[in-house]
Amino acid sequence: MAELWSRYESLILFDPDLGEEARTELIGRVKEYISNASGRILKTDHWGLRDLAFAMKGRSKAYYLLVEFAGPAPVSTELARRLNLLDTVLKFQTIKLEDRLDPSELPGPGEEPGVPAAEEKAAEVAAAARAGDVGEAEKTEE
Amino acid sequence: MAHPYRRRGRRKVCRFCVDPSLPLNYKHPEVLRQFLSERAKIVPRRISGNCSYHQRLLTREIKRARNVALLPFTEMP
Repeated sequence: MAELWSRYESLILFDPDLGEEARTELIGRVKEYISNASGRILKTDHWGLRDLAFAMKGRSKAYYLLVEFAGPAPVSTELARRLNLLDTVLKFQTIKLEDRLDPSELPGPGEEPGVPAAEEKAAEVAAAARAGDVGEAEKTEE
Repeated sequence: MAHPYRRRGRRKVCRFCVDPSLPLNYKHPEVLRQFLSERAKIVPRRISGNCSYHQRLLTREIKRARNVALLPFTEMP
């Protein structure tokens, strides 16, 4: 029997002092973490710069990004592990929206969970970021 | 036969039952904010009038919103 997937939603708070370019690169990298863990991104929502309700790591603002994705069980722990290593991520919260899903019934291609069609835009962003900063992008290939 | 200590005034109703379109999740802090006191404590059900089901969800969502700094844990009036 095929592996069952869960659907998650992560709200990630990025460092507000990051430049536009560094941020797109970073977001592309975060998306790669999900796809490399055989997850599939379903939706991304850029909330942008927002005031924090309380100061966190000396910041009073953060760049909020909401990512909805699906994948097998280890995808959320892998994402959490990776995000914890980034000091440009102030905080994040992952919530499981749904579990015991059949991956073939999810939107996007069933055969290639790593390269969902809906993520073309993200791939573009990641590609653009890679072109802009090759040295940084290579780290993610490890 | 009126009870001598009967509460007067408007009957409280659960706002989430009255208006099912009112979003109840951590992504709408402006809604959750209405259920926080001046010191950012969660308003009890006996004050807000929420039903137990929605109060449970509300509490969970407020706590989620606090984790990502959408709502304060505490605040000075």
